[in-house]
Amino acid sequence: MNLCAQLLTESPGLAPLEVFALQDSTPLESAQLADFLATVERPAFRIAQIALRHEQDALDAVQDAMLRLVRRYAERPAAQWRPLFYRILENCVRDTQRRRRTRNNVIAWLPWRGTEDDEHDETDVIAQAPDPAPSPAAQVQTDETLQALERAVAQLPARQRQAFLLRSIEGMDVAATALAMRCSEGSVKTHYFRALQTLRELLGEYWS
Amino acid sequence: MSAEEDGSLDEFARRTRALLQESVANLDGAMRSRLTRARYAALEQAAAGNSPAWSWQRWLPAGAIASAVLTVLIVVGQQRATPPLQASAPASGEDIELLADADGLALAQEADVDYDFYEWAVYAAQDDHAGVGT
Repeated sequence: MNLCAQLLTESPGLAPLEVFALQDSTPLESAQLADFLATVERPAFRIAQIALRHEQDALDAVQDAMLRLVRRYAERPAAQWRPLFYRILENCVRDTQRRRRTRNNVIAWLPWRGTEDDEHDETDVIAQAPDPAPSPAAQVQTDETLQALERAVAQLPARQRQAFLLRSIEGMDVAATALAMRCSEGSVKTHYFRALQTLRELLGEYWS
Repeated sequence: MSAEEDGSLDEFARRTRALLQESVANLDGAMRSRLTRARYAALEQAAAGNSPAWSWQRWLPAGAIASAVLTVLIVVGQQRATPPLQASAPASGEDIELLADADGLALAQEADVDYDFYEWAVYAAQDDHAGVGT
């Protein structure tokens, strides 16, 4: 049985495992898990940051995903951690987006709307501002291109965004991406292809 | 899609991938530090969350709620089981007179009162009064 089939068989719907004790794992396993988290934390943060367009929300999502992985799936074979982690991370991202939409809907009804919300709004220029450190013109150009790319990626449908970021940032192949997205490899190829097409249309001026 | 378009898309994918992976590698030190702290916090929380102390603490709110509900049920049950205090029987006219008559009340409260004597005296007086009238 390959890894994909095994994972889908063992965890339909990714039901959380009730029985798990980190303290029961050996020090070697704990160290292995810590090492794994260290390898994924930066790409995971960038994936969450691009999806959420907010630094602190992205950091919270990454930490939450780490916590859930360690609590529920640490006893799984190490080979399953990566797709599981990114699946959890995507759930955390969507939870944050859902909470944000709910909050915005509630605030829209309030008479003093638009004051507190501005602190965390996607258009928060301070949170989204680039590093103020001086950079050469080429770096400025790169930063602008990167920011344009991030804005365009954030506009993609969720599945296309997920496929594009997992393949581009994490460098996952089609099979691993399919595991993380819980879909077929053909679907991954379709989502990724459409994402590329959309992004190229949106970013034409930056890539000419 | 033509081979030229396909190649163009591949080139676009390669460039975007390079740009994004470079942005991961160039994360500033402050953010790296925050990520490291987040990782340690997650590992520590997970370890603490599986300790025996956490196991009973997890049930603490449920236990508190159950205790409160039980207390309310006991209090309400006792109130329903205990008959309400009966209102005093309506005081008769003699009782009211007795209470109003300070001397009579004092007499009734004396320990060694010969009630038979007083009863006889009352009847005797009534008989005398009836005899005089006839």
